[in-house]
Amino acid sequence: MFASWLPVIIVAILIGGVVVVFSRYNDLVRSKKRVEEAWSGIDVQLRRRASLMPNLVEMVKGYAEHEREVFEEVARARGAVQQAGGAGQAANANNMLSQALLRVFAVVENYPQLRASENFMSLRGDLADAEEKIAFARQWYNRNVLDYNTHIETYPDVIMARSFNFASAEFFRTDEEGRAEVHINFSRRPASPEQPASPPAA
Amino acid sequence: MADGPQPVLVYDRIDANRRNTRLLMAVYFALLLPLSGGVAQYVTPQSIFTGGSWVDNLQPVPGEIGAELIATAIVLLAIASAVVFVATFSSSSLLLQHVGARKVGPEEQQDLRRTVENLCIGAGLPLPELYIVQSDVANAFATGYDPKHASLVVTSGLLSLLTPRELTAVVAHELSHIGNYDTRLGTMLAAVVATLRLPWSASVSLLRLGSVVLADMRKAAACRVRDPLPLIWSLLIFALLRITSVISGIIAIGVSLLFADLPVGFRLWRWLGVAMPLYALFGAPFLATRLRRLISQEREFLADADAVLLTRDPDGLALALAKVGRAGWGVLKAGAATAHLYFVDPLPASRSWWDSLYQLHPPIDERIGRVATMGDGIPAEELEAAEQIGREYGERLYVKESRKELPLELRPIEQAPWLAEHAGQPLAVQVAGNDVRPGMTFRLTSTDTSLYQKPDGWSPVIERLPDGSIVTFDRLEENFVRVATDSAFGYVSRGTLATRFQGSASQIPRAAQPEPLTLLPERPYAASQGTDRPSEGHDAPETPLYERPDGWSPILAHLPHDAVLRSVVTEGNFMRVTTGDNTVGYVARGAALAALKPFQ
Repeated sequence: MFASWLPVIIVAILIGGVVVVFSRYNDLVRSKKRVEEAWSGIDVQLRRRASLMPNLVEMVKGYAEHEREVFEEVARARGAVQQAGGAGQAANANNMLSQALLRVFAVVENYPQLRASENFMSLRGDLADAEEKIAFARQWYNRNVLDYNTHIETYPDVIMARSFNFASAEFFRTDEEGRAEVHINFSRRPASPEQPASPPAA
Repeated sequence: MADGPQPVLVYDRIDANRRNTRLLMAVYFALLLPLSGGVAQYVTPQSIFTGGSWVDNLQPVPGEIGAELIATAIVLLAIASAVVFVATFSSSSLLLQHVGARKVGPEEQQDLRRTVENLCIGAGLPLPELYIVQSDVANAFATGYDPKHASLVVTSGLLSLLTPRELTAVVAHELSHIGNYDTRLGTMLAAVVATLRLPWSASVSLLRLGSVVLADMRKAAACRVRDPLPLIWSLLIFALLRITSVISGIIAIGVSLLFADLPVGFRLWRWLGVAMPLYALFGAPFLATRLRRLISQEREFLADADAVLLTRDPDGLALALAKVGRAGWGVLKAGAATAHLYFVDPLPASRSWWDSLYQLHPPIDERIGRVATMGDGIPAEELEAAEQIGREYGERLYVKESRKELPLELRPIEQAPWLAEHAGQPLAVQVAGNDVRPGMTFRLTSTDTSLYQKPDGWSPVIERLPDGSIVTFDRLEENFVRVATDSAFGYVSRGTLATRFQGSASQIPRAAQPEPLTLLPERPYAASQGTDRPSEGHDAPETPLYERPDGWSPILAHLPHDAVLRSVVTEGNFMRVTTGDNTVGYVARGAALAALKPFQ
């Protein structure tokens, strides 16, 4: 009696196991796709901010031609943002850009006329908005990364993740260590020859 | 929850809500089954075959449980589930229409739009449609089948009451509802509650209709039916029940042919016959409300927690809750069935036990308490200040709303003898009920009466009328009386004291009759100090020159008393003038008139 049922039970267990494995695998893939989607959200905002740079540089140049060093730093940082491969690199490049921006604004402080001009104020508003959007995009991305990383590092998904080579995703950090790294990387890196494209005369 | 929001991913919430939705449907059917049984008793097709009128149909069918009853119950059940299904998929636009929401154009409300955009990025949501409801009541809600078809609605009152920081918190709360699929669950819940309350609300509106008919005709006309919706519903239901009884009659024939030996006629039926209608009328609506409360309170706490997670600013949400909660006076055009969709309960907060049974949102204080523990703790005085602002806003709203409800009653002068001791009666009292026609003149006995440009009290004052001024009555307009003075035309408050002035214009005392001006276009005029008007004999004030004929447009210049003006054309209550340096602008007709004289 039992013997006649045994093959059926074994087959059922096997089928059940396969189904479970498939669905766990699909869950992992879905989770990974979500991280990628959230990353594209950050990427869009990073590029948006970087695209504001030529305008800013052009505007400040009109007043402070001699601050070439600052402009070059902005150009390098912008290039780095555009070429960044992963979350870590992009975060570094973005921090670099933030620092370059700080220097630009320090220069602007010396030119009250520029500071008060309508164009500059509106650009400043756009920059602030872009920064806020990056912050929110980062939050969303990091939440997804946390979820994904927790998945692939906890039992039972960890078995699946190991056997199918699911690598853990990188957080997008903006902490102090990140900034320090920027400087080291920066000094080692050859200066990007790319100059910011001059904006259409406005 | 007390130790702060845990970063639970929104996808888990969605899964949890899917389960909730399924559970809700199961509970719904469990609640609906006896309800449809109770209703079915009144609409079994038996009466159709015996040819009773629809009133007879309202009598419970005495006798045995039969195939007809079962069939009717099944049909009712099917209809009710169809209603819920259809409502869940189509309710968004209906709801938006019902509350009078207007879509926000791409150029409007840039700050709100930017806030929503940023928070959507943070929550990984597509941008919802933005709507505004023109209402002073501060509230907000979200609706939509899923995040891709979601709408976010705020009232104009909310925008004026809250600071940007608090608004961000409210938007985050509503976006959390969208992200967690609470909007779908909420809409389904609304439809479920509405269906389960149907017998109850139908009977209530029937009773109300009956009392209106019984009351005498004049009162019935005065007390118009406020909300026609229940009435329409009940008519609809009776139509539906008729159709139901026909359909179930046909099904019943089939059922009785199939199961001829159905074990019917058991004794329990007598008890069920009593219990089911009672359940349909009282039990089901009560249980529906409890069910909704159970679900929506949990969703509110969760949305608060998610909002804090999104904005990282628990204090902002606490302040917003304090303000909106204290201000929350007045019913937004929300049916009882949709009340749980809002940021705070849109129904008036009273503390009776009956209302607390129906309270859908957790008490505001509990919500604030939970949110406050998520951060470093918010200073009590800051919270109190916010509550105070909210309370004041609510009080202003209350005054404004209640004024709408109570029109001023006009009574003939004979019925107000206490006014006789004043040296004159309020204009409105003299005008109302007496035979006063436009063109009659009054002498003002109030000192220094303001003559407004519009019947509102905050429009520009055209002229200050001294004691003894003669005005000509034109007509009553809301709280103001439109009058003409000899130089201007405007509104005085209806409380202005005055006496009838018998006599013709030639008898008007000289002091009250400034020299009438004949305004000739293209003739130069100058302001001169030599005026007959005693009240303005001293230093003539500078006359403001407005850009437009309205009194709140920018002031182009202050004309000194000796300014030379040309090209005077009257426009409404203003005169268009050209000054010496060719500036074209407007001066009030009253303000400078007495000082203007043809330039020699």
